[in-house]
Amino acid sequence: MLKDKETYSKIILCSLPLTVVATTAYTSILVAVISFLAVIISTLLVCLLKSFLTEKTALLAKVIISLGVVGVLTMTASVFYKELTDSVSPYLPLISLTTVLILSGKDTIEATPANALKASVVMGGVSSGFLFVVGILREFLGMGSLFGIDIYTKVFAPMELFKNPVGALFIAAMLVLLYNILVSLTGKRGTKE
Amino acid sequence: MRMIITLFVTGVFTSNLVTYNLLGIDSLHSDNKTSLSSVLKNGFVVTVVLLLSTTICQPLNNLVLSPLKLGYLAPLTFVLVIFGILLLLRVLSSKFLPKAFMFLKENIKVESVALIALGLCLIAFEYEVARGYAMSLLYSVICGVGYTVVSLMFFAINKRLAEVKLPEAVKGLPITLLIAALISLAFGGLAGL
Amino acid sequence: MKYITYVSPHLKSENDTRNIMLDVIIALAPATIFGILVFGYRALLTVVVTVAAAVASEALYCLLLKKPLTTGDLSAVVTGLILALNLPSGIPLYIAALGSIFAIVVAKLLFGGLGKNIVNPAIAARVFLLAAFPAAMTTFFEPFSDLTATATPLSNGEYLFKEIFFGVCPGSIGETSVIMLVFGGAYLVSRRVISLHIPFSFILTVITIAIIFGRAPILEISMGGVMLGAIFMATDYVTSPMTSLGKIIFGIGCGGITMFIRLFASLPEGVSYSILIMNLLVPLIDKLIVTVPFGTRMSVKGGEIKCLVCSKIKKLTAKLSFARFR
Repeated sequence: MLKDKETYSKIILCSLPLTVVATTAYTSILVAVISFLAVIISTLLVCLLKSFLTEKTALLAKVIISLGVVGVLTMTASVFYKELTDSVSPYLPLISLTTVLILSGKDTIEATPANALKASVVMGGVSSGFLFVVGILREFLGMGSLFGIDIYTKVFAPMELFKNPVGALFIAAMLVLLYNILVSLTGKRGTKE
Repeated sequence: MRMIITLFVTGVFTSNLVTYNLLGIDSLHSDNKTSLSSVLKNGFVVTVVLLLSTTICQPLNNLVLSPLKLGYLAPLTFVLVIFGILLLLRVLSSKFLPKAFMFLKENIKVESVALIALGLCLIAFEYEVARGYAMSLLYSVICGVGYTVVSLMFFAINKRLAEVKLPEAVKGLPITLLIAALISLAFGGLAGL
Repeated sequence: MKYITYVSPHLKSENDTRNIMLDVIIALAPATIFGILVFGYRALLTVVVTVAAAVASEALYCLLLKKPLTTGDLSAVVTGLILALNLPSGIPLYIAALGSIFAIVVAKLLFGGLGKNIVNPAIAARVFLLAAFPAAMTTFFEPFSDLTATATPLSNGEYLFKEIFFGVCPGSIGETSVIMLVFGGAYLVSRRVISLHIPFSFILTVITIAIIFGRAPILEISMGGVMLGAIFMATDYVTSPMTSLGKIIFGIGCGGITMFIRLFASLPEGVSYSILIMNLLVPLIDKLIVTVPFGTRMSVKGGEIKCLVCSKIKKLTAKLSFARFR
């Protein structure tokens, strides 16, 4: 669906810094939702303002727009879920550079607004879905609970490793590996470049 | 003296930008580094950018943003400063050091370096790793050195893996993440100074 | 003309690998049997489960990927055995099995299989388990008792020197007895499976730094898996440097990082982390040492700092590697 095959890897790599905070299911939901909304709203704004952006100011303008959107979303979220957002907030602006990456891709620049929106939904979905799944797996394997409910802590010891960024890297590697395996089993293209 | 050693171990090993904060992995994933000297030059450029951005952002943060409670403007100002620094480096090198300018144009991706610098500014100031202006500058240089160390490891390991027939599903992104995970695991042992 | 050096093993036939692995198993036997005698049947159970899990995961992997079965070359057995010797005797069995699976699948097979791994699988698994289950991996048990948990002599020095040296003290199954490990090491050296560069430089560095910082050197060697690491884990020929100079640097680095962790960091056990870090640096060491062809002269470019550093490193390694051949 997307024209740029390398984008999937780049999106996942740029979403990696955020996995440092996505340690529990709740925080990862917050991060995933914010990043998804940030991507979509930024794409909308960039499409609307396309006529004002020249070649040279494009990058800077995209950065400013995405940072602004992320800032507004963070403030909205901290109104409703203050403590959750506070633990996550130093890392949230790092989404903006993922957003910039998505905005600079061929799919959003050269397309009509409707197509650009569709592409941004896909790419934003990849990023936020990745964060969400990593968060859930980290909580499940690292603390034995899901959404705060203990599942297996009384039978097996949960693996403390996954609360650290090390665990996030292992889970990310396993997820992409699983995706590649599934892709090669069903015969479509994957994330290799 | 002991504090400097502690800072060094923290910056290079335990809170390494790549392995603990997962920041620079997208620039390590692309294999455009063809020789040891280009890896070292890349690391040097990143270190310089980190140093310059901390020089400007630290006083900005402590003297302007915090007292005026403008904390939410921090990411925006940092990004503007960082892009300004990158622009300045390009302009200066195009005038005085043409070879460096060619190198910058081909090898340094602006988004990756900006992500690393933004991450360092946000995380280091938020979590107050180093007290005081001089220590912050030192810490940013140390983080740059840490990035270079991991970059060298990646370069050598990728060179070795290029001669090896990897399983199909593991090529590309998963193996990069796995290597990063192993390096992260190894560096985690130096915690607790 | 460009000559490409492939990673070891250079001679690959199942017979060769199997013979080397058999030698390693024989060399590990004294330490294993001693550990089982000292720590009881629970240690035997741990060893059996770890080795079985290693072999099973390799077999399952080969089956799932429809490849020929490679368990015949006994490398999975060796990895499982070394990992088992690193574990405390009373460790929950699912943790031991998980460690084996990680060692074989993640650290060995996903990187390309035998001869192509970049880290020693047993070391990677041990560090993984240390990070994942810190409590279970650091509860060691009294010898000759039925699972009374204590701490190792490293953190709680109430044991006689004799007890520590001969291995009748708490620790993981294989690392306590220096004598048995030295026997095994001597056997390996006599069969030319390992060379003495790495164990010597590792242990000498540990002794030197221990003397400098005022800790008893013999105690440092006998505790915490230094002998096990230096003889069996650091010398894995796939993950150690190819040149002799590289091996010596590798050993010095391992010893240095081990003592650094023991002296300054809060962990009493530094061997695994140091070997893992040095394993990851091995491709870099190989690259820095092998890149200087014989007879070339390096010239220092004036002005640019970065090239100065590069060429200084090259000059230094050129001098050192020429010095080897005098």
